[in-house]
Amino acid sequence: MLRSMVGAANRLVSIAAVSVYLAMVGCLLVLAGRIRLSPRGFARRVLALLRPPFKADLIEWTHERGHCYVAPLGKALISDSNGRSRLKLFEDGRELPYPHSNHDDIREHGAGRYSHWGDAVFFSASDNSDPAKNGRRYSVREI
Amino acid sequence: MAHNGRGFLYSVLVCPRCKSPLTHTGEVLSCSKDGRRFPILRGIPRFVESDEYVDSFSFEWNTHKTTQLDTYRNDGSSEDIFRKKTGFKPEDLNGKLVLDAGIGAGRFTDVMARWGAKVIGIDLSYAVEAAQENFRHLDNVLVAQADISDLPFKTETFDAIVSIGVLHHTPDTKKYFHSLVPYLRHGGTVAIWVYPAEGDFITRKQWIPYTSRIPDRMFYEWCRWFVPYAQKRPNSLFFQSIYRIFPFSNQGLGLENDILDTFDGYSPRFHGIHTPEEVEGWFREAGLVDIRIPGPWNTSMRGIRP
Repeated sequence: MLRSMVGAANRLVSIAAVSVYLAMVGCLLVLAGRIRLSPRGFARRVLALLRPPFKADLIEWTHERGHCYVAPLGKALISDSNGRSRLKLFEDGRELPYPHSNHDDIREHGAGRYSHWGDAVFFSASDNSDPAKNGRRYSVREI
Repeated sequence: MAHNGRGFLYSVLVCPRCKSPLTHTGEVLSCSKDGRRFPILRGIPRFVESDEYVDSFSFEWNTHKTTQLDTYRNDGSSEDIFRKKTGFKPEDLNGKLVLDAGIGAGRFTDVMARWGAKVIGIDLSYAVEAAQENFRHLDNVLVAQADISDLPFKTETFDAIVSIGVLHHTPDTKKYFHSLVPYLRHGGTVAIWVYPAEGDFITRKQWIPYTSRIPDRMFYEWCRWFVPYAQKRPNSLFFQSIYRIFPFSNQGLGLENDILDTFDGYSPRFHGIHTPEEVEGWFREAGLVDIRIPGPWNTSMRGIRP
């Protein structure tokens, strides 16, 4: 009992001490310009909290490589290239299974993998069919 | 034989200094020329006296012995990465003698052993204890504790040399890469992956002089708390901003993997980052041919010794 309390206390001290140390080093690195932060990216993140979640149908896309297709969103959102995308992709209303996928995995394996990167969605159909010919509806929604 | 079915693999070991054969008596390997002695502790031949500058790896791989091994994960995630980073297929390595330079807990040796390769895995750190535990039942794997710059093999020994995610943790990535090449047979292939000079790797490099000084156990406790806490809040503005300053792992291979990978990203003493052109230059300088990038990672490269 005493041993586990001492262990828990040690853990808390470690976490607190390392948090303080890392916060100080992080501030130092940012202030010294060794880690660069983009004010534009920060503004995007603040605005994302204030506006209603984005949703749209994907209307046009181009074949990229392998199973991968690219659809422009026409709106600057937080994507995986500048943060963590909140966008989900739906095929006929059903959510596709693998967001934030590596683009090579989308090209090579497909199977519903997708990535929100920059102002576009890189995606694949759930059965690796051509989205232009499979007659399904593709839509996106911020969660 | 004291070393069971690993006789062939033991026969490959020589004195790192004079390259003379070693005689095996009890739990000691002795140089037949100058009498230098190399102990075999817990089944592992030791060619170094300590883990020198890689103590963080000693800690992490003995804490996460099986986290990244396909055999224990019951998936093919490491095999997939291995194929993409080296371009090797099972038929390329089946029956071949391969050096895994920087075995760690044995993530990629696990793949190669399954493919039928005869693998010698070396590591400067005490990660060898974890690797030995993972492979003690396999006759086609031998684990040894040794330094890449002072290897206990004759030159032109291996059919293939693999070093994935290791060389950038040495004091001089290029020099240590060049010290591997002579151990490759003519016609053999060397495949490496080193950190690229881009994105999160650049950011992490800025942290290394500070984070590598934190005692391993303290930093690990912190990673165990922070990574799950941050991952549960992917839409938090605060944690999105923290990620830009302090990129933490989210590889989709499970929480334990992400805790391990975050610790691994910030705790080592050395964290070299390199461009593809730089890596290709090392291969050319080493006289390798048929140099190519086998997969999507542009600082993974392979070449053949003519």
